[in-house]
Amino acid sequence: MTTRRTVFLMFLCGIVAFIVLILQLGHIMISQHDKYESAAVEEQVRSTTVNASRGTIYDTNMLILAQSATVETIYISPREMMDYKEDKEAIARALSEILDVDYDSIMKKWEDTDSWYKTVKVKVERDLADQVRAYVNGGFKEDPRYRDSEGELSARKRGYLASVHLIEDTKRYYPYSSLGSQIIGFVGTDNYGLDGIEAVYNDELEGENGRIVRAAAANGTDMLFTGYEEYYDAQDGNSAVLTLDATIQFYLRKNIEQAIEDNEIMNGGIGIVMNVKTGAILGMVSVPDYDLNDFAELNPDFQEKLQEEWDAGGMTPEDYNARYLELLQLQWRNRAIGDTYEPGSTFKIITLAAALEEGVVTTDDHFMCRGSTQILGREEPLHCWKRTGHDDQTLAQAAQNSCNVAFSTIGIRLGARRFYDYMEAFGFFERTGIDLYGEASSIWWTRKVFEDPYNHSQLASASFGQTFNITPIQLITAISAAVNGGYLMKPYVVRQIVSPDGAVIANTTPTVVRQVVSEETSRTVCDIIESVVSSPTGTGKNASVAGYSVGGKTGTSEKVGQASDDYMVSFIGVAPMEDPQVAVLVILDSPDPTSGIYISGGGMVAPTVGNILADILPYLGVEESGGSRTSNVTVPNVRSASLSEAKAQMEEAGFVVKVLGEGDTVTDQAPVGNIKIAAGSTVILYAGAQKPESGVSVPDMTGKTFVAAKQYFEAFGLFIRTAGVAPTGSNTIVVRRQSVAAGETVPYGTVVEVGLVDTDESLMETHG
Amino acid sequence: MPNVYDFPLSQPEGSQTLQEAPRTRRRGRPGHLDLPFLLLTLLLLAVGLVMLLSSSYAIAYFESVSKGAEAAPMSYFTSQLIYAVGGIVALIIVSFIPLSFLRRFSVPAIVVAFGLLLGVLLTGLRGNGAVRWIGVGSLTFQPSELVKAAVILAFADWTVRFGPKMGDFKHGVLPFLGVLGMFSFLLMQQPHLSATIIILGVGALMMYAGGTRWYWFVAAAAAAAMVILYLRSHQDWVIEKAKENYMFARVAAWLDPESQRRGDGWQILQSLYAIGSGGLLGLGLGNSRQKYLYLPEAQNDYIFSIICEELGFVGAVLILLLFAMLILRGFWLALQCKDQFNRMMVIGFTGLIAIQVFLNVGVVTNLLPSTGISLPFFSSGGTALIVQLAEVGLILSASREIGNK
Repeated sequence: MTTRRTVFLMFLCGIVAFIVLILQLGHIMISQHDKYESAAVEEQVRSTTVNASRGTIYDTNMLILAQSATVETIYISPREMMDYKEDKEAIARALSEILDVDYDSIMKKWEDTDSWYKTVKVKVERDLADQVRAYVNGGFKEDPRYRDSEGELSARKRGYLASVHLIEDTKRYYPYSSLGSQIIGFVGTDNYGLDGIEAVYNDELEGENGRIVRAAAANGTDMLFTGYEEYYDAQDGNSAVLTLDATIQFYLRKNIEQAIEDNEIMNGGIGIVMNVKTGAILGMVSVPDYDLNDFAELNPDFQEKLQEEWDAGGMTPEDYNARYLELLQLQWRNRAIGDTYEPGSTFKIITLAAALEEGVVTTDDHFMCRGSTQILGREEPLHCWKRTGHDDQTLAQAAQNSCNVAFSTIGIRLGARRFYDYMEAFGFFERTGIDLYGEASSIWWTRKVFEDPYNHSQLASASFGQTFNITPIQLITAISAAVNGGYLMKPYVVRQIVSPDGAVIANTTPTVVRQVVSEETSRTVCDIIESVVSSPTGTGKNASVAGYSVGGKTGTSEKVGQASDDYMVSFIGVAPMEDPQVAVLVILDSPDPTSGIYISGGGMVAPTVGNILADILPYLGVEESGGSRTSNVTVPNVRSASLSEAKAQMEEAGFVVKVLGEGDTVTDQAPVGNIKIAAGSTVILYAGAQKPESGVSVPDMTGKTFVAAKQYFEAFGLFIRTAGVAPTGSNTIVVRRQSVAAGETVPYGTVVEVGLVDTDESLMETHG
Repeated sequence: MPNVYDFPLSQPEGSQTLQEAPRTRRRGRPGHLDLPFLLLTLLLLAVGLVMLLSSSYAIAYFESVSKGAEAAPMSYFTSQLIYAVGGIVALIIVSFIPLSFLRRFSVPAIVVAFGLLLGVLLTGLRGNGAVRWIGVGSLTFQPSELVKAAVILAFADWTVRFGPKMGDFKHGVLPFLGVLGMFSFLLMQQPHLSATIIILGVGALMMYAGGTRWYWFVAAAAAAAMVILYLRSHQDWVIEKAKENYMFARVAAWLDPESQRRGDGWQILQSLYAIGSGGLLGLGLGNSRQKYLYLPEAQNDYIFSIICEELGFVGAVLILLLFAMLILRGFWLALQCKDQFNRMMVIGFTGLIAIQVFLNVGVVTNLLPSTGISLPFFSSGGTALIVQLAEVGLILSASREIGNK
């Protein structure tokens, strides 16, 4: 029996048991190999992200508008602080000093002793991060208060702190702060574009993060021999080159800001500069705007505004927060594409182009305006903005006068159906497709209502730009088509995508959406709108620029559905008219009706557009071709030149010369050289005589005419430089502000800038 | 009755030899020890040392470095190597001790083992949350090792002594169950589940070989099977109970390792990852990744998982075949023994190896619930290695008496 039982045990222990084990091994190692292997690998492999550098955003001249730089995130590990018994007070003290972080908040973070990761500060710039690094890698030993001697392995002995860590990250910098803020946009903390070009072109800009994948021991350190590491290189992002020109953008914004200030505009302004031939956006401004580097902060004006509202009382903290967010949204808003408005008379260019193309009007036609007219389907007569009427006018004069009666006649001649067809052809029923997010849709009558054969009131009003809402970008795109030979272009902001090593990856080619009117029609439109500016009685005369032929159209419209006193005043300018290159549209939102300034596009915005064109046309290298306006001229530096030569130079520059002293050479001049003053000013050359060293008290010139102000200043030994409307001898041109406050004492020969406005009410339309 | 139980060195004395009193001395020159058994042992020991080096290298490295000391990746290996040499010396010495000499100590051994277990409970050293060790100077010793040997010795003696009476309950079950129950009780006070299971297993094995009625084993097996089936079919209940009870946690970790990932399931999961990663041919010697602190006790109870990971299915099966051959050879030697006591001793110690291998590999492959059972000749642990080799020496001592007539 024993033998039999032993054999049985032998079989059980030596064969059956091993068959069971081998079957189980086979099950795990062969059948479930993949499952367990991937689970093991997932556990063993640590992946570290290598941040791709985000592409740069350049302006058209390769000036950097947005750029990424390496920054670091500093975090502490309470767990390691406990394990290594490091001195948390000393570390918290040091970090709070270097990083300007609250000491108590760091001490609080230490309390979560199970945590390996508590962020102290994100996006720390290099120099500060280096200070932290120096402290962590031995600097703490210099601190006599640092104590960790109870630790198993003293940090002093080890040479570094185990509980403070730095990791790399990137931060976005915008060197021009608020310039083009709504176009450029910003990125979130994860470096993902949230607005503007940063968002639209995020896929191009962000690149692809790389990874370092390695097998690590359970404690995170490297495996000794089986060390397996793989690198996936980060693919840096491409760069975007904009059509935007920082210089033009700067001029555009500067002039709009000035106009807002001069005309007491309450709700900011909008400006677009477009290359009429390509649809490229050279400048786009929406005020209020914000500093891209602090996009989550309100701009100073809004901060002040919110503070005032708060101080006025009656606001709960929730209201305050809601209002804060509201203002934030407003300053982020690109109103040039995201807001719609009633364009008013600027739209007459479109009506004109359509009517000329269809041949329902010719330049020889005459239009009679008696101040009002009856329209089919409209009970009230339609009034022209000039209640006394414009009498008999040619087509060009009707445009110059911005006559509503004439344009409603033109619209009705064209007929509702064709008018509507042209609106569609000029792109008013669809978004322009500009490469920016947030483009709004226009608001129009339906075709059925518009084409009602028994009611012309919609058609009549639409003919001079009322009863519908469009976006500024739609208007400037359509008007560009009207003046560029008839081609509706697709506006764009990015002209090129460049790889990190500088190779051009993609070029934006200007896209012709369709030809809307013929070249001949376009030429005629150009001639007519040029006369709006060049005619001494034209409503757009204040937009004239010395040396250039400028065309344009004013616009003044009531804000629909808002307080009845609020207006949108606007002007569209085009130059040079021989061969239009740029269009400038500026819209100012709600001039303060209590300011006493006459509200009109011609008075408020035409000079602004004129100044913008005066700034950017020479910059763009557009050749001068005549034109009417003279304003400020640079004074040559003639010191130590011979008197006769100096006199000749000054006179050539258009100055009147007064000589003091008996010498032959110029010993001094007032004003000093290379400074701009009003043309026709009297400059003083000293030939041996002494320039007075005493100060001059500046007189108050506001409200005086330009001519008076100039004479007055010259008598005081001060010089004048103008801004705003062009200085003419007309006594409707008055000083609205001066750059040096009255009563201030300044050196003899100081140049004072005066802001001029035109108070000539007879030429400025109020509606349309 | 055929005379198959003759003492090899005595003169044939008929059926009386079955009841022959234990001898104290072997007459004449000792015979040759069984070379295949010795070689299989040495081969397993050699492979075991290599695998110990591989599996302990990372652990030894990180342990030394984290203490701030100089890196000592070889520390486990060198210690094990020294014990292995000591173990081989012990094996050789023991192989010269006639088993009949030991037979007289069967009762004292039980008494000493009992005393030591009591001593451990009163004064023992703590390790792994349980009290299992006693120390003499710098040496530590697990009395459970002695308990196993004492049980085998006593059971071999008693089964031979009782002879045909093993068939009745009073002789064949009661005294054995009494001893096993007493030791199990004491061991579970530590608690030391693995030693309990091994002793019960070896005890049962020897009772069966000694002639206890088969139905007792069928009854015990049926009871165990019912418990296992019950647990298997009430997995959710077990997982729920696992929150408060550590035994249930073990069982839950066995039934569904993922459910106990943060607790008892962690080790078995890591073991399965290691074994599963091995695939057919393994990652190659020294290339285990799980040994980098993922798999706890990779150099000890879970060394076989690292073997699987590095050597693959093929390597692991080869090592299991070596064990199988050793065990088959052991039982073959038992069959060859002329002396019933020697035979029972060989069955006992061979069975001990078999049970430990089966339980160890069963645990690391999650065939069985986790208990801390080391793999003979492989797992790190100096005194256990010496004891195991000495026990091989006992088997070899018995083998010396086979060939001599």
